[in-house]
Amino acid sequence: MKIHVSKTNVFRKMKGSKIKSSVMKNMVLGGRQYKTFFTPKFENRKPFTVPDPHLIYSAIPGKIMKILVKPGKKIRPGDTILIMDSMKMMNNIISLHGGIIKDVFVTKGEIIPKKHLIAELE
Amino acid sequence: MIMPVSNKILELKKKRKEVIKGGGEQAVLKQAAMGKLTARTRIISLLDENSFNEYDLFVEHDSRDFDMEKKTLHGDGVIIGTGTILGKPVCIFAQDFTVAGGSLGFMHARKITKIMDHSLKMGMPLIGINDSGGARIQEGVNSLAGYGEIFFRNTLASGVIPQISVILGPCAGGAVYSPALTDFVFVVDKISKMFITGPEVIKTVLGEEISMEDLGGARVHSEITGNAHFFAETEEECFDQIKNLLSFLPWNNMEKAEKTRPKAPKRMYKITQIVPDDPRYPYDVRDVIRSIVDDSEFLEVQEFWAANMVIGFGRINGESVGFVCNQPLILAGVLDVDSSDKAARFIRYCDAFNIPIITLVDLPGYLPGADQEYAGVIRHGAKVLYAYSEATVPKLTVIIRKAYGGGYIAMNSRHLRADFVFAWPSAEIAVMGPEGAANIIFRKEIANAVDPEKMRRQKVKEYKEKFANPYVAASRGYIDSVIAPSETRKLLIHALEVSARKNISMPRKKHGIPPF
Repeated sequence: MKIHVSKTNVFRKMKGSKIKSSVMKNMVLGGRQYKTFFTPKFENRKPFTVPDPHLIYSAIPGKIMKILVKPGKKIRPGDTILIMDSMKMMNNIISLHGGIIKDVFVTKGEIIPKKHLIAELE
Repeated sequence: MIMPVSNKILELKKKRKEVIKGGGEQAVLKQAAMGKLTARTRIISLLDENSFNEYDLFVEHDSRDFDMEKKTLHGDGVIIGTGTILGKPVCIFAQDFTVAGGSLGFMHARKITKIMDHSLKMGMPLIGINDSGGARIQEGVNSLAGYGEIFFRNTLASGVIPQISVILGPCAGGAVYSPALTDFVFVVDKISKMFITGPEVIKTVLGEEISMEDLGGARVHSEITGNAHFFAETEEECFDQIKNLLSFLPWNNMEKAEKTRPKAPKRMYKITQIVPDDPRYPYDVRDVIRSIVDDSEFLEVQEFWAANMVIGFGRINGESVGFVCNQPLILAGVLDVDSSDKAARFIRYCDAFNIPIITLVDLPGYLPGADQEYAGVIRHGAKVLYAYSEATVPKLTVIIRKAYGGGYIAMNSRHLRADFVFAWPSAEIAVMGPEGAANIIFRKEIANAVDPEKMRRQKVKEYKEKFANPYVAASRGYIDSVIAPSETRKLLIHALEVSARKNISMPRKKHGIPPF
């Protein structure tokens, strides 16, 4: 099967352009397999994983000012577990789920990014 | 002792010469060291020779805080004026990085809003060359007031006159909203920098290290964010691109783009040899475009972003038209979040400026995936439907190959009031592809068969013969005619001729609520 070679010759301007993968791949849509180039965004997409309710991640980056829990402490859903200095404000970081704290992974004064693991529930 | 007028004229020339120095020789050398031209050189290069007239040369700032009264800022850091491009008048402003870093103060903004008001009143394009360090902090809230006045006018003029932003330096913080509100953004490799919060703030708040170039350089905005529409490697190339773009556009929304002398497409693009027989194999849709436009000249917009959708300007028989096409070469030509945004905005641009829209269809549907759904492909996909439905310019559609399900409807089908819908014999207009359809409709027959695989292949073949063609849609009048590929250009020329005086009205309303 002869693959058509484009006469337009346009991905010419951006040398080292990452707009498409270097080789054609197979893409299955509606039961049919298409030969096509992928985009870097498509190739690097994060596959879906079911979130683990025992793990508490940070939603915003910031500096840990005060930790209100330690291993063994029982918390209810909505309890504040730590206070973080973020975006020029003091933020109460709450836990969506209740349970007993198994481990805390941050320390006072630490600067953490978004989606950083803060604590784990049993 | 009365000074003769001749002396006063000499004094004027002396004053002009002084102000034209801008920030002085040192600052000009620094600008060149960064690989950037000065503001004045840029204007002279872009506009027709000897056509530039400058205004507000002697405007001065009036701030008195922070020792500002001791500082002389020539022209307050911006050059405004009118001139011609391609012989027709344009308004232009260029920020002068050599004067206080091109920072925006109150009078600086006043100059810009003056020329913006001018372009709106007189109905001519506005070109803004951005090269500024941002708000002049010494002027405080007055700088913010300046920006606000500019953004409001950008919106007021949106859809009335073409507004072009050329980013030839930093354009950060609030300042970057002006280009975002304009029609087309031009960036130049290694020179343009656009971001809301810069690397220093990101370092402080997030602890992340990122360079200006990686955060908001020309390539980032051309490939990843879609904020830039045209990418050039040098400033000169950028100016050529601007002139090329303006040749396709009307000077304001009350006019149509100027017609040029019709030319045939170049012979090297043979329309019958581009699309493969097997629908699983791709081709570059731009080759198809080049086989039908005058002189095979196609100006692509946002070439490097959402490449599974191709948009741009071409001419059919001298008339400027806009193209919206699926690109089977990338991601099989599916519609997704980014490509929907790309298409929808371009459709509305063409509609605002009386540019007919030609849609070439070949897509298997929408891109599946949780990441697409979470990103809101529902909202974004709806933008295309909205844009096509609301557009009142002549809308022509050519269905080249696949047009399945929602994708068929979205790509300017008859139902969204396309004026003419043509289909090639290779078109497959169906609710879904034969493989998928057969699996669902004939599930029982396949499951109960002695040889399920053979039954499946047979059912796929049956469905393909019965439905994967343009004739079912043709029998309902959903398409206007099935045409041979070689007839495409001829028919598009005729369709554009008969649609030239199209006149329809929409229900009375202030405006609809598109899924922003």
